[in-house]
Amino acid sequence: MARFLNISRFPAPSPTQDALVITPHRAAAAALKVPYNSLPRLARAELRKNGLEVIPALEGRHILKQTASRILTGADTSSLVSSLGHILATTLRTGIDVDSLIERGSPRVSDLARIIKAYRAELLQKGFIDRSELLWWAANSRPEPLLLYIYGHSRARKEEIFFINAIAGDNSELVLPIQPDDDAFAVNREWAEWLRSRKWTLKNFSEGPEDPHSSEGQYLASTFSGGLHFGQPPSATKYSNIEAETRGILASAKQRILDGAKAQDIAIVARDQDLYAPVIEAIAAEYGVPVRIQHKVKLASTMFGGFVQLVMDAFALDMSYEVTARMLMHPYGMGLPPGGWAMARGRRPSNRDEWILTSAPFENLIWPERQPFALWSGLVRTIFQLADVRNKTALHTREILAFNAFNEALTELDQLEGGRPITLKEFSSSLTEILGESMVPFHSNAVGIELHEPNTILGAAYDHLYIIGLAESVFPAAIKENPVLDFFERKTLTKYGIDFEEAAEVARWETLSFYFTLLAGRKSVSFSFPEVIENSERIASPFFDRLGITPERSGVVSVSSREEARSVLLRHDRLLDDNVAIGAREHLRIESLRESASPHDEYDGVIGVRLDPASRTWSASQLTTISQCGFRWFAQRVLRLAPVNEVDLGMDYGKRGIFYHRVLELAVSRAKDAPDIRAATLQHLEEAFAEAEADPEIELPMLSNWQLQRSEHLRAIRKAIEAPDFIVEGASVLGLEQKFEVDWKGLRIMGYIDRVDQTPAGLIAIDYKTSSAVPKGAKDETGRLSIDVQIPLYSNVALRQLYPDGKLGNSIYYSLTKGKKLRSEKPGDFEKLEELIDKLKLAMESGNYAVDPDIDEGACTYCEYELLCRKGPRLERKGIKE
Amino acid sequence: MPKGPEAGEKGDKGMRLTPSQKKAAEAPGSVAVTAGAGTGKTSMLATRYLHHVTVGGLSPLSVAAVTFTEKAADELRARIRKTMHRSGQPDSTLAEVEAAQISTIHALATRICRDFYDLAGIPADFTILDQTESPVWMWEKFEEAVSNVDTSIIDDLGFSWLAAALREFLNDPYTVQKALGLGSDNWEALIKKESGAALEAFLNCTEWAEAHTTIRGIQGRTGDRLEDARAAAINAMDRIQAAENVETELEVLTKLSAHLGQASNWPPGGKESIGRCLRSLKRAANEVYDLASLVLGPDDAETARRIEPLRASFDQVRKFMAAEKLRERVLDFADLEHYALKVLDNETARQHYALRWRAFLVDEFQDTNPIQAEILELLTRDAALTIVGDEKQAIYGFRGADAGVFTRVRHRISIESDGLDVPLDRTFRAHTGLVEQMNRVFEPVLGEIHQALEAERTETTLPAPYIRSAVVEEVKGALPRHQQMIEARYIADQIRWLHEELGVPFREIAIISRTWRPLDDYLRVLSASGIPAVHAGGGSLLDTREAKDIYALLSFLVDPTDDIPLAALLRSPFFAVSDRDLYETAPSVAGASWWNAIQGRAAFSQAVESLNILINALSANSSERIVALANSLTGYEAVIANLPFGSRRTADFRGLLELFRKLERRGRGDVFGTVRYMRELIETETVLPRPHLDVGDAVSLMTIHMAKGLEWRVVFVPDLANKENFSIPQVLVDPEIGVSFQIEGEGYEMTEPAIYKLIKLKKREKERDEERRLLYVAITRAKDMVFLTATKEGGPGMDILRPGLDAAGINDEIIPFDKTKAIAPDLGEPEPLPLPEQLNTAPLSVGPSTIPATALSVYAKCPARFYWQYVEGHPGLGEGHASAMLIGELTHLALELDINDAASLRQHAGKGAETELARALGFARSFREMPEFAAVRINGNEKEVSFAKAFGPLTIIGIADVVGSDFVLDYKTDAEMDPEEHRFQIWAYARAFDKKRGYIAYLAHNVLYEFGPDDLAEIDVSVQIHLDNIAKGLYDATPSESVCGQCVYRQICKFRFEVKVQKEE
Ligand code: SF4
Repeated sequence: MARFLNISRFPAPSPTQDALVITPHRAAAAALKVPYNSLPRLARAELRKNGLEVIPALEGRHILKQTASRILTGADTSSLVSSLGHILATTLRTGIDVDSLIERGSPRVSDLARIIKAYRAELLQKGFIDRSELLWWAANSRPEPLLLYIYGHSRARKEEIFFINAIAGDNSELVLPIQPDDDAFAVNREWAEWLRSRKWTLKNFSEGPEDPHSSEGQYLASTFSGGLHFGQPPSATKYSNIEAETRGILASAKQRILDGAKAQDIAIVARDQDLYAPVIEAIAAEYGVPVRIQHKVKLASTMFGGFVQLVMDAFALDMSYEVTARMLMHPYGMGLPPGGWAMARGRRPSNRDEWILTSAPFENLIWPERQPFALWSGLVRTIFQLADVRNKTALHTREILAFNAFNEALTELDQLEGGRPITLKEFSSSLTEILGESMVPFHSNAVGIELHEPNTILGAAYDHLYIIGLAESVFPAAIKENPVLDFFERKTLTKYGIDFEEAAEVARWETLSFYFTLLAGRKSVSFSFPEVIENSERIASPFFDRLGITPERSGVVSVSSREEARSVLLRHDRLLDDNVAIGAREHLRIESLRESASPHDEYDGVIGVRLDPASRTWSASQLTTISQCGFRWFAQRVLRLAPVNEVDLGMDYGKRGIFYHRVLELAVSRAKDAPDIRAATLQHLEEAFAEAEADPEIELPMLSNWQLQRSEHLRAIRKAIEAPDFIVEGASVLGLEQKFEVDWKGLRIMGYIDRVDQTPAGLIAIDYKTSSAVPKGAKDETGRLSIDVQIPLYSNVALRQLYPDGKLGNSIYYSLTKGKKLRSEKPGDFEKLEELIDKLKLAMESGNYAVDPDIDEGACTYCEYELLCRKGPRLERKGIKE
Repeated sequence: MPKGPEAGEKGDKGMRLTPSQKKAAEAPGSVAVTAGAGTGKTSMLATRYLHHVTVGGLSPLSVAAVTFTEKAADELRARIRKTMHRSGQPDSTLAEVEAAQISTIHALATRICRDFYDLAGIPADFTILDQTESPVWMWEKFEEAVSNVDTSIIDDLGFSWLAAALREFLNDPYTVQKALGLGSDNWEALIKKESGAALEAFLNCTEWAEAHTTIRGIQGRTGDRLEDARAAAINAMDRIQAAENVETELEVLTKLSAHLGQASNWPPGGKESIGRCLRSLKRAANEVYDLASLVLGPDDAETARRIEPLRASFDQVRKFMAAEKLRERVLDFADLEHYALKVLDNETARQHYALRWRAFLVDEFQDTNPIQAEILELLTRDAALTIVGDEKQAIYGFRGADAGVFTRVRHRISIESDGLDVPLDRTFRAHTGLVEQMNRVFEPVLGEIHQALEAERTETTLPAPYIRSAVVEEVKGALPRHQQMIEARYIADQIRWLHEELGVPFREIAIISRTWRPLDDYLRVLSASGIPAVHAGGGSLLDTREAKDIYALLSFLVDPTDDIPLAALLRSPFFAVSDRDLYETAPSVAGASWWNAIQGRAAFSQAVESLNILINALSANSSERIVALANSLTGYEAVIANLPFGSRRTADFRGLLELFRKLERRGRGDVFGTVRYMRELIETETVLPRPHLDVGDAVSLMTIHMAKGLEWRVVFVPDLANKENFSIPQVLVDPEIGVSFQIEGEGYEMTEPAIYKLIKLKKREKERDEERRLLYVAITRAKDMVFLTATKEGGPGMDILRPGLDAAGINDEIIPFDKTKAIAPDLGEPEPLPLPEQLNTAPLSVGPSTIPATALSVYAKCPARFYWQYVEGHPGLGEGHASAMLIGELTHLALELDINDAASLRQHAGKGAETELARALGFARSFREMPEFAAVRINGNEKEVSFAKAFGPLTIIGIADVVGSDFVLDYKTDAEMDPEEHRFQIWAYARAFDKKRGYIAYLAHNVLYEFGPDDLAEIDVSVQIHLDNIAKGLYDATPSESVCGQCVYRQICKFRFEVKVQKEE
C-alpha cells in the first residue's frame, strides 16, 4: 500500500483521480470545486456503523452537570461545567489518558478529570460519545480504508493525523505544508516524521516563489517566513479606527467588482469576528456590497436574547420600574397602550400590581415560589404569545433563528429537566446558559464577499484578499491562559506524557495561521491596521515587521454609497441626482447660518410674526421666562411643548413644589384664624398632608415609591413652618392662594399669591419656594439675570389692586427647604420691571424669540428646551452680547 | 491620535543603555526605579525582562508585567519581543513571550478571579462591566436595592438624603465600605493630631518668628489703630503660645487690620514695617486657621450617631448589588480588584501564583490604588520585584490612585529587602537648555519630590527662552470669556510664528490643558486663523450636539407623543424646519400631540414621511440600523460633515453608532434600551469618551491626562488662571479618616462638622498637590519649547508655578487686551471636502455561485422566495411542517443506515416522537419490500453521494439518495405527489452523475416515477434560463394565489398575493 505525504511549501491542490477530497471547510472545497467532505463526516459514518451517536449538545451538558454534581457535591455545577469545557474537549479530542490525568494533575485538574471519566462512561453506556471525541474515537475504530485526498489541513493535529492514518487507503495523499527553516512548522515536521514511520511516502514539489506561476500570497508567505524579499514590498494601510478601515477595504473591494472581479473571488480575513462582523455588515449594507459572514454569535447577543434576559430580570426584580419598562417597551415586548409609557414615566410603577394599574397586560403573569421547569418555560412562552414575539422576530433572519433555537432548547430542557419543582433563580440560570451557549449565524446571507477567520480560510483561495485588524493583541490575538489548566501546569504534565497544548505552540499557531492566510491570496493581498479599537489605541501588528512593511495612511478618496456621496459632494457644484441631497444642501445652509455670526433668523427663534402681548394673559413666571430667553418662552407658551416628566426615585422638583404648596394652603387655611397661627398650622399639618396626598390632581408617584419618602416630606414641611421667618410676630393671614388679575402697562396679568400677610410693617405677599436659592430673575442690560419680576409685581401691582388702601411692607420669597426668607423687595426693582415690559413688547412686536439666554446661561439650568434650541458656543459668535 | 514617538525609543538605540538604566535592568534582586519624564523606562523594562530570562533563567511565563493601560501592555510586549529577538533567544522562548502575563492590573485581577472563581465565590463565566457600563448597571438596580433598606433607617436619615448618599457611595463601594467601617472612634485623636500639627507648623514658621521679634520691638502711639492691632497681635500670640483659647486667638490674628494707622504715630518707618509684619502674620494665620481651629462639636456627635445606620443601609444595598451581580454574572472593575484580593487571602492561591510568577515588573506604580497595591504586595512577596514610577507624574488621585504607595513600596524594596533604588534622570526628550529651565522651575514647585534631570540632546533649532510665560492684561469690565479669547488669539499668533518663521510642523505642536473645557475656544480661534487643529477628544460624547440629535430621534421613535424630542428633531439638520412653520402648526390646545398636528402639513411632509418609515422599521432593527436609515433618508451626516469641524462631528456621530453596536453585542441593541441607556449615562454623569480623531498635520488639543506618555516639540499649557469650581459634595469619604457629611444645624442651614472640614481640607491639599504634578506632566511633554499662558495674572496654576518661574528668571509677557479681538471669531465656510477619485454609489447586484439542487424548483416558483430561503437563509414561518419534515429525515436515515427498529433510529436522529419514527420505518419498509420499487433496489447502488457540478455560471451541489449504474433516485415521503415540482432536482442529480434516467420513489404512494432521457432534455431548456437569472442576482417576486398560499414567507413578504386587493379591482 502506498500513501503519500505532500510537504510542499506552497502546495497546489491536485486531487488524485477518483479520490474522495477531504477539506476542513466549505471554502476550501469550493476552491477545489469539489463537494464538501470532511473528516468529521467520515468519522460520523464510522460511528454510526458501530451503532453509536454524538450526544446532542444540551443533553450532553445536562449529563455532564449531573455527573459533576455527583462527583463534587456542593460545587456550583454551572460554573464547574463552564470552566471544565476546554480541558474536557482537549482530553477527549486528543485521547489524553484520563487516568494519568487523575493521578498527575493538580487537585483541581484531577477532580475535573474524574468528572470527565465518569461522564464519558455514562455517555458510552447510553450509546453516545461527546462531539469532541469523534475523530479520536474513529481513529481507533479500525475504519475501512478509503482513497482520500486531504487538502487544507495545513496544521497537523494529533487526532486528525491519527484518524487519517487509520482511514487513508492505498494511493491516498495528505497535503501538509512545511517551510523547512521556519520554527513555526515544528509541529507539522514532527507529525510528518511520525507518518513516515507509518510508511507514508514523502512528496515534495516545492515550487519556490521564483516560479512565475506563484501567487501573490506565496510571495508574501515566503517573505514572511524566511525574510526573503521579492519584488515590490506590498502596501499596507493605516486607518484611524475600524469603521474607517472597513469603509476603506469595502470601497476597494467594490471597485474591484466593478472592474470585473467576482464577489466570490474576494475575501476578507479578520481574526476577531465579534469585533468586525457588525461593522462589516453595516457598511456593506450602506455600500450595497453583498457580504457573506459565517460568524456565529451567542443568543445573548441578539435582540431576541436581550429580550429574554429582560423577561428574566423583570421576574427576578419583582417587576421593578426600569427593567420592566424595558421589557414592555422592547420591540418584542408587550408594549403599553398609547400614552401608557408617558403615564408610567409620570408615576413609576414598581411592582406587578402597580404595573397593572398602569395598564400593563400582566394579569396572567403569576408564578409560585417553585414549579417544574416546564411550567416556568410555559410562562415564558405565554409572554412570547402575548407579545407576538415569533412574528416580530421573523422580520430579521438572525432574530427568528435565535427565536427558533431558543424555543427548541426550551422544549429539550422541558424533557430533560423533568418534573422537579425549581425556583425562579434556578430556572433563570438555565436560560442564561442557553443564551450564553447556543449560537446562531450572525448573518446568513449566502452570497457575496466572504468574511473569514484565519481558521476557516485554510486551503481556500481567493483572487483578492484583505487581511484586516492587524494590530498587536488582535492579530496575533492575545493568548489567553486557561483558568483551569494554565501553561505552567501543562509544562509539568508534559513531563508525564500528558500533552496539552503549550504556550509556545499556541503562539506558533497564531503565526502559522497568518502564514496560511497569506497563501489564500492569488492575485492581491491587502493589509490594514486600525489605530483605535473601541476607544483604545493600538499599535501595529508585529507581522508587519516580518513582512518588512509599515502601514501608511491612504490618500484615496473614494465614495461608495449615496450617503458618502452626499457628504463629499454637498459643497461642490456638482448636481446630485438625489432629492435627499438637495434637501440636505438646504439643511446645511440653515445650520451654517445658525453656526455663523449672522443674526438670529427664523430658524433661531425670530419668526417675524407679530404676537399681540395685550391679547394674552401673563403670569409673573411667564414674564420672567420671556425676559430670560425669548425662545424658551416661545417653546413653552407658543409652541406649547410640554415636557414629559419622569418620576425618579424620590419626588421630582416640580411635583414637590406643587405638593408642598397644597399642603401649606390646606393647613394654613384651617389655622389662620387661630390666635397662634404657627401652632395651629402645625396642628393641622398631618391632616392637610393626608388630604393633599389623596388629591388626584397632584398624582403622586406610585405607592411603593412614595411610601419610602412620605415621612421625610412631612418632616421638611414641619420644619418650614416652625422656622421664625415663616410668619412674623404679630402677623395675620389675609389671603391664601389669592388670585389677582390686573391690566398693567397694557398687559393682562394674572396670578395666585401663595399668601398675603398683614404684618406690623404692612401688607406683604409671600411666595413659597422649594429651592434654597433666590429664583433667577430676568436679564438686565449686561445680560445677567438680576431683575426680580415676581416680588415687585406682587407687591406693587397685585397687592395694590387687591388692597388699595393697605400700607405695603416688603414682600418676600420664603424658602421651604431652608426655612428662611430669601429676598425681600428692594428699591428700584419696580422701575427695572417697567423697563423690562417695554422691551418685551418691542420684541413681540417684531416676532423676535431668539435663542438668547443670559451671559452665564443661568436661564438654561432648568430649561427643558435645550434639546431643541441648539444653544452652544455658537451663540457667542452672534455678537450680540458684550 | 497624535503620537509622539515613545520616549524610550531613543533610549533604545542599539541597546546602549545609560548607566542607570543598566543598573536597574541588571539589578540582582528587587529594584525600585524612579523614572523622570522621557528617561527611557520602557527600554529599561524590556532589558530587565531579558535579564530575568537570561541571567535569572526564568521562562517568560514566569515573568509577569503590569502596565497602566492596554496600549502600554501592547507596547511593552512588542518591545520585549524585539529585545529578546535581538539578543538571539531561542524560538521557543520567543514564542512564550507571546503568552506571558503582560497586562493591565485589571487583566491580572480578572485572571485571578477566573482561576479561583470558587474561592472568590463568583460564577466562573462572568462578564465584565466596563467603566461606562457599571454606573448604568447600578443605576438600573438602585431602586430595588434601596427597597431592601430597613424602613426605620430610611425614616431616621431621610429618604432623599440617604438615597443620594448611597448612590454616591456606589461609585467607589469598597473605599466607602472601609471608610464606614472606621466608625468615629478615632476622630477625636485625629482632629487633635491634625490641628496640633498645623498649630505647631504655625509656631515654627518664619512669619511667626519674625513677628515675634519685630512687633515687640516697635511701638506706636496709644490710640493709633495700627497700634491697637499690634497690641491685639501680641496678646493673641502670647495666649496661643500658652495654648489658651487657641481657636479664638487664631481668629484674632486672621482678622488683624494691618493697613490702618497714621505714620505720624510711629517712629520713622515703623508703621510700614509693623504693617508688613502683621500682614504676613495674618496670611500665615489664615493658612493654618482652618485646620488648627478644628474642634469636635455637637454636630460631630450627630454625624457619628448617623454613621452606624448609614453603614447598615449601605451594607444592605451592597449585599443586594453583589447578589444581583452574581445572578447576572457580571462584575465591574472594582469587583475584580476586590475579589482578586479575596482570592489572594488564601494561602493555596498565593502559593499557586508564587510558583508561577517569580519576577514582576510593574510600570506606572505611582498610579496604583491601595487595593491594587495590596494585590501586588501579596503576589510579589517572594518574587523579584521591579517597580517603575514617578511621584511627580502621579495624576490619577481623583480616581483613587495613591502616589504614597509608590514611596512606601520603594522604601520597602530598598531598605527592607536589600534591593536597589535607582533614579533614571537622563532624559531623551528635552534638550539641555529646556531641561535646565525645567529643573529650576520645578525645584521650588515640587519640593522634596523634585528630581533634577539631565538631557541627552544638547541642540535645538528654536531660540531661547525655552519656557515662556504670558498673561492677558487685566482690564476692568472685561469678561473672563473675553480674556480667554485674547489668550486664544495669542496662542494662535505664536503658533503661526513657530510654523512660518521657525518651520515647526503643526503636528509637532500641542495645546494641553487641565480640563477640556477651554479647548473648544482655542480650536475655534485656531481654525478661524487658518491653522489646522484637532480636538483629539475629551469631554463626553453625549454632550455633543450630534448625540443630542440622535437622542431626540430615538426618544421620539419610542414615544411619538413626546413632543420635545419631536420638535428638536424637526428643527435639527435631520429636517431643518423653520420656527415660523412650527409656529403656524402649533396645536391650539395644550396637551394636543405635535405628531398629530404636523400630519398633512406641507412644510412637514418630508419629515412625516421619513419618520413613519422609521417608526415602521423599529421592530426589525437595532438602534444602529435605525440611525443609519434616518441618515440615509435625510442626509444628516452629509450636513454635519460640511459644517465647521465637520470631521470632528462626523467622528462623534460615528462614535455613537459604534456605541450602539457595542450595546447590540450585549443584547441591548433595541431602540428603547438604547434611549434608556443614554439617559442613564446622562443621569449618572458618566463620561463617554469621544472617539479619537486622527490628527494628521495639525495642532493637537487635548487634556493633560490624555497627553501622558506623548511628546511634541512645542507645548502650550494654557488656562493657568482658571479655577475649577468643584462642588463640594454633602457627603465626604476618606479611606483613612472615615465618612462625614454636612448636617442641618439649628438655623436650618447645612453646617459642617469638624470632621467633615478635616476631610475637606485633606482633600483640598491632595488636589493642590496633584495640580502641581499635572503641571509637571504637562510641561515635560515638550522637546523644545514650552508656553505657559493665562487669562490673567495669578490664579491657581500660575500661583503654583510662580516661585519656580521666579527662580528661573522667567517673567510674564503681558498680552494686551484688545476689545475688538475679544469676540469669538466667525468661522466662515469650511473648505469643501476633496473630490473623490472613485464614485461608486450604486449598489451591486450579485447572484450566488453555488446553489443546492433543491433550490431550482423554489426559484421556478418565486425568485423572492428563493431569495429568502437560499440567499438570506431565513427559516420562514411555516406551521405544521415540522412533523412531515422530520418523517422525511428519519426515513432517509433509516434507508441510509439500514435501520429497522425505532430505538436505533431514535439514537441516530436524536429526536422524534413515536408516531414519526413509526411512519418513517414504515416508509423504509415499503421501499425495501414493495414490488413497485424492485427495479431500483439493486445491490451495488451507492447511497448518499454528494456532488458539486458546474452548470455554466453556477455550481449545483447536493447529495443524491441513491446512484445506480445508469440512474439516480430520490426518496420522497410527501403526502402529495408532485413530479412537476421535483423535476429540477432529479434533473440536477441525473446531469451531475451523468445518468440517463432519474427516479423519484414516492413512498407514501408506492409509486416509482421515472424521468427518461427525453424528459431530462426538456428540462435542460427550461432550467437554463433560471440558472442565468440566478447568477445575475435577479429575485423579483412572482406572487400568485397558489404560490403565496403555501409560502412560509408570506407573513413577511411585501409582495405577497392579497386576495382582498384582487376583489377590489
Ligand atoms: S436652554 Fe437656554 S438658550 Fe435654550 S431655550 Fe432654554 S433658556 Fe433658551
